[in-house]
Amino acid sequence: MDTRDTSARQDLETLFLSVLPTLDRGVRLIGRRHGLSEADAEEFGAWFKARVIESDYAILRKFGGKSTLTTYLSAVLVNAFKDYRNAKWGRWRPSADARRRGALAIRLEAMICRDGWSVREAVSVLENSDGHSPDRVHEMARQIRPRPRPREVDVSAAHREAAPQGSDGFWETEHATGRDRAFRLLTDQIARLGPEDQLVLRMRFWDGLSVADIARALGLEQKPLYRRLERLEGALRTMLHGVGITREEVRQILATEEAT
Amino acid sequence: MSEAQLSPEVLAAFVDGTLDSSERERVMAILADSPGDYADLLDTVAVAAEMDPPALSSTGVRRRRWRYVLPALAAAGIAAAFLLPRPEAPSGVVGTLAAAIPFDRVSGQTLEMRLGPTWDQPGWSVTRGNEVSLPESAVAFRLGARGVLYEVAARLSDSSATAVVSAELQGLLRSLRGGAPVAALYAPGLMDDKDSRAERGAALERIADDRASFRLGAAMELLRLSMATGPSPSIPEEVPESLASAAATLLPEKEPLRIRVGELLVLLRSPDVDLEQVRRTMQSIMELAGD
Repeated sequence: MDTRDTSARQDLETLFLSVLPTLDRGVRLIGRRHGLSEADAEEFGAWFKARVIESDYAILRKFGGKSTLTTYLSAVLVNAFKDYRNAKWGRWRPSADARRRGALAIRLEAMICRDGWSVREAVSVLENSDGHSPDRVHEMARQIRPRPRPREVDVSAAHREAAPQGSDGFWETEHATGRDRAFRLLTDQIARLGPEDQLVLRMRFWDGLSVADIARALGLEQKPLYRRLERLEGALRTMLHGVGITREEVRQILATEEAT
Repeated sequence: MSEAQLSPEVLAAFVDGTLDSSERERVMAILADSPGDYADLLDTVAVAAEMDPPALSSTGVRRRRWRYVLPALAAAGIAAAFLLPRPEAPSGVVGTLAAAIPFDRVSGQTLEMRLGPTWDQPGWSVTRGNEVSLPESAVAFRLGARGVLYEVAARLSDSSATAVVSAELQGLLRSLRGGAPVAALYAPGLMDDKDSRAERGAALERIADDRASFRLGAAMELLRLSMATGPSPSIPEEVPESLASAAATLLPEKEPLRIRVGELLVLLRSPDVDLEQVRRTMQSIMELAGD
């Protein structure tokens, strides 16, 4: 290793030590977002730091200055958490229903199906995080079909006891109500829009982000975004009317989402 | 969740709005199509919004932060003791760094001729007004920077530049308690030989309570002047060494600044130095440390 390599490594160590408090903060934030206990969040933090050091600071070396270091580290932590979660709890995929319902549904389903939280516990964590209104979280939770909690069974009896894998049947069937039918049609209509419009609508009406947060996330100007949302909402109402969804059903969907 | 297609680098650049339009459109299409990437975007935006160091400058957060910063500071201290180059002798910081400027790359008799009309523009706020209102660390940072600039001007026998910089140094020094005697060392017409300048440099560093900020200012000035020597500047090895040394000893409440300095170090060490990004990070450091 020549002098330049040694110096570069020392600089990376210095940077790592400098960002440790920031990383710890990020670990706690991710833990909070994903409903980790304090101990689990600490374990994730220790796992992440060990990985950074073992890789000879490869994560920091890859930083090319295309973003601020803080944003980069946030994205790195988010990515690392997925690896950690897969390593610890196994790879897990959300159901098609949850994907259609948005990020909140995915997290709710993951906490209950994958991590073994009760519905009540998961709702309690999510309604206090990320600006999700309690109404929105409870509304989503109401759409969950009750199912028995996981329990240990004797191996010899496992084949008889085994529940279906994944999250099949976790959500109330979508054709159960007119509202669900409208929901499905709404998602179909949104999928026909351009990517940016899709994201704007999904963020606003599915994930309850404020207009300011959407503007920040997508790098858009905030003021024109209000008008754009109005225009998109109007277009959606028209489209849904066109496929036979009543005004009341449309109002119900959009009003519920908008309440956030 | 579907496999993520976007790397952390690309996702972070998207969030910060630094992608070009075609790349941004590509990312947007992936986000609309991939729930996994979309979930990562939401997580990244939420985490970055709360992780951003400048947001931590409020008093309440700063108080709580000690709990987390102290162990890191201790670790940084250990790193500084064992891993990093030892800082120069107290009297030599300004002189050592001033001597490292790659002036062989540019010709001219005065600083203005060598570096252009912006030779004395530091990057910190000049509309801030009276130096009395500056925090001590900002004064120390400015003293380090201007100490190097004075030494450079004096070595070139650039009398007009020396006069400009010494006047600014005097203003800064008078804002410090006990600074008047040191300010007197920079009065016009005094001896300007090597020993006198070394004595002034040492006095300047002694009067700056926040030595880490002083050293950081000196290192940043060396970098600023080196960057001004041409479109493909040569960055002296003293720059990263001094930056690393200063970063390791910055006070705990300077966390955002330490991170920016660390960022700059990595940029300077990368095989393909992105000069534009280096300039942006320098500007951010100048504002954080000098204002």
